[in-house]
Amino acid sequence: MAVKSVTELAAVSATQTFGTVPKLQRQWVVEVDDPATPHDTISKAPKDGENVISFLDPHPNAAYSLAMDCKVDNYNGSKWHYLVTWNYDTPKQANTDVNPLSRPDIWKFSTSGMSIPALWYYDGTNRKALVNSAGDFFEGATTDLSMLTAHISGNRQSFDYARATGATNILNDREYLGGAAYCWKCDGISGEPAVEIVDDNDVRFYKVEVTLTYRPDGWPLLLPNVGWNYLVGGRKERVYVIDPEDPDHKTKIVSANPQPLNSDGSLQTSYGESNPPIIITRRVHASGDFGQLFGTPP
Amino acid sequence: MAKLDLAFQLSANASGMAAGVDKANAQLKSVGEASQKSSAMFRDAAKITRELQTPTEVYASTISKLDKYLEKGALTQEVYNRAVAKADAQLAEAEGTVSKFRNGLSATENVLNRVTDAAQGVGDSVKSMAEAGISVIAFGKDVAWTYLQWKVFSAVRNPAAIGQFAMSALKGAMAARTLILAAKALGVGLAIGGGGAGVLASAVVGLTNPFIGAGLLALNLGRQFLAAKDQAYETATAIGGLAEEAQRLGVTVNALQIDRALAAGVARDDIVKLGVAMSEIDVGHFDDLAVALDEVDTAGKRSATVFESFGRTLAVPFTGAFAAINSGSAALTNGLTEIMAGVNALAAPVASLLQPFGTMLGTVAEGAMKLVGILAQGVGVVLRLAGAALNTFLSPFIVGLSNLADAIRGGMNSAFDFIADKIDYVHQKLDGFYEMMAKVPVIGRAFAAGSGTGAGSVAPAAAAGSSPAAEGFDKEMQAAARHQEAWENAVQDSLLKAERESEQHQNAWEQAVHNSLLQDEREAEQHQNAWENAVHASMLKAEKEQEQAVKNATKSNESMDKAVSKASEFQGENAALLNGKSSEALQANDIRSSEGISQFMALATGRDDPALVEYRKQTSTLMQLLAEQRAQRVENATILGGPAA
Repeated sequence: MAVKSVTELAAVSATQTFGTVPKLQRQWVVEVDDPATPHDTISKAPKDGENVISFLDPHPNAAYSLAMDCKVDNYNGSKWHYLVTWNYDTPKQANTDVNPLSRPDIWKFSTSGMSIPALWYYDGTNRKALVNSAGDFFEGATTDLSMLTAHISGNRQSFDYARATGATNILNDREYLGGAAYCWKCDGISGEPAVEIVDDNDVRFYKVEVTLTYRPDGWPLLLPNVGWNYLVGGRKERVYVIDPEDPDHKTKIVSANPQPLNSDGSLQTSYGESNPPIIITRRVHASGDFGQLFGTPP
Repeated sequence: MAKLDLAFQLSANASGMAAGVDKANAQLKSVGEASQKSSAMFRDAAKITRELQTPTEVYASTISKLDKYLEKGALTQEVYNRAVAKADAQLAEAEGTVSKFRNGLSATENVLNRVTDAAQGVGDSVKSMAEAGISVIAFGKDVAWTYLQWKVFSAVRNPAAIGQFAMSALKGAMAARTLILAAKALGVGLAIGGGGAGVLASAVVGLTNPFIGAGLLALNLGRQFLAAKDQAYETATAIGGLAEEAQRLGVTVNALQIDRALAAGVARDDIVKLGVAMSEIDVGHFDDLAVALDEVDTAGKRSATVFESFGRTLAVPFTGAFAAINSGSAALTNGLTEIMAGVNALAAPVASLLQPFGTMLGTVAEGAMKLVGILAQGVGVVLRLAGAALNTFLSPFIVGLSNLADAIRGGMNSAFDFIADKIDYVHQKLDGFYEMMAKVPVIGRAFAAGSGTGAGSVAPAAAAGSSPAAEGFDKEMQAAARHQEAWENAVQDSLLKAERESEQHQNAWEQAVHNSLLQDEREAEQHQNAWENAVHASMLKAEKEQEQAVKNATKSNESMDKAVSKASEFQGENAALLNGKSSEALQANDIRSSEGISQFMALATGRDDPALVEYRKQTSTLMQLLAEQRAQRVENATILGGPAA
């Protein structure tokens, strides 16, 4: 059960389309002395010189095109002749390695929109409040917020569950990928098992994928400083309102809604357009070094 | 009728009788033609009469023409008399409706007079015809003429008021048909064996003429009734108009209520004129009106009564004649029937078995014929007696007439007895014949069963005792008496009715005055009650309004108390809440969300808190209640610690 002869056929296929990489193909007729010759023996019969052709071997006429897949078929119905076909292609990932664990991560990016109330507008480069000529806000006006999503795919020996849970929903604590602190958020981390054969050995690993979302105005909450109680001498009391039509302007009426507060916790009794409520910024997510956690795109 | 039909059948089957029937039919045909001619002349005379202008000229011309026709023989004496009577009636009609109206009231008298005239005419006719020996043909002619007159009369006018007369006339027509049939029978009798029946026919002719008088009499009588009715309606219309005018002016027919008329605004002069007009009203007119109305209402009954009176008057002198005719006809018919029965009894076996006995049958038939002849002669004798009685019928002594009638009846009964004896004799002979034949070998069994069909089954009508005509006459007399009594009762009822109505009018007037006083009293009482009720209602209304005002004030105070209580409660709750901290959940969202921006906008634009709205609402309610209390001068209240209202 041995190979009696190997004969390479003429260049049988070469496809090239504009905007794509060329796709090449090589074929050999392998004659065996026994129809029961193993398939692996037949597929390794073709050679370039003394080297048996294997995956990622460059095409002799085009170094950029690498051997990507091999196929063995019966040749014209003869049980002593087999047709071996090798297809050559150019891999998208640079530095492709036969070992999956040695391959670099793949980064993909996409953008999307998010509808938010429109409170400002740009007058040239100056941002101004979006109000009418009488100074009233357009309460129902909305605008789109551009969101950037980064997908990171890579192979890992194992899936670190603790790290995955700890990294999910955290914000970047420093500038990352051009974004200010607290503008990137890890939306999720997923992993699934995979296996490949390398040099006749199976390599088992996890395909891990991380999703990061960038929000230009940041992820911390912007809340009005309002409450049911206000501080009076360090003691809380129920907020109230005073009827502006009351001539004495002193009757306290228990309010039906939370009332705005000053920064020191006192009741903001005078508010309105000229004195809008205070907006407080509160980050409700943990933060971390995204560069360290997820790296950077190549 | 069945007997007469049988007689005709007999005449049709017997060749010897056929000639008599044919002769009678031919003569009747000529009678019809002569009647038509006479009718044309009569119509011509009527036409001439209508063309005349004045009633007097009409009368004179009619009399002249009638005289002329009478001289030429175009009119018989009785027709002439009737035509003169008709002209008299027309002239009387032209003299005025009041006169005719009164004539209508005395219609019975007129009827009697006309009946007397008719009876006179009948007597003359019977006398002349008996003397002239008028034949059956003349009899049939008069019968046809009578029928024609009746038809003309029916075509001229058939008012509902004389419907009873129409029925009587129809009965007369039926009687005429009976007489025609009798004439035919008499014709048969003449053909068979005798001329005595001709005298009978002459006597019957006298009965036909009165029908002419009856028709014309009923015609005139109907006209008078119609004229009376029209007069009554005209009077009633006039009275009705007077009553309406009087009612409009406030008066009644019975009495003039001057006060009321004056109160109604009638001028005094008008009242005086009206009083004069009322005084000029002839009360007799009202009586005439009542009688006329009664006459109209009972026109049919009166007509029947008159006609029955006519029939009674006419029938009295002819009772014997009727009895003679009926008895004679019945006897003749019975004789013929017996002949037929004998012939039938013999004809059947002759036709089937006994041809050799033809001679014997001829002998029997000859015997039967002789029997008929004897019977007819007997009847002729009786009728001659009746004719003699009729010649004296018009004598002024009614008692004598009755005696004569009785004599006629007695003679008729004697004649009948004679005939009956003859019949019995013949029956005996026939019985003997049958007995003899029953003993004859071979054919004796055929005679052993009896003498045949119907022989002797019909007894002579005269032998039954009293005459049917006499019984009918008695019934008519009784009916006439009842009608007379009914008429008198009607007049008496009318008078009583008028008296009652007068009394009712008086009572009605008194009742009206009494009712007027009561009504005035009631109206005054109602006004007094209405005024008192109005005052009472006004006082009640004022009390209710006062009570309602107190209730409203109380209600207002209660509302104020509730509002103050609610305000105080609100104030207390408000103060309690303000003195503590709130544990309500704080709802706040990122201002970049829709909820968050809404909350922010509410605060940034200074919108009123809903609590302010509620506060202002309560304050407004309290202020309103305070205003109401001020208006009602209710005790002041302090609201939410504010200044006293």
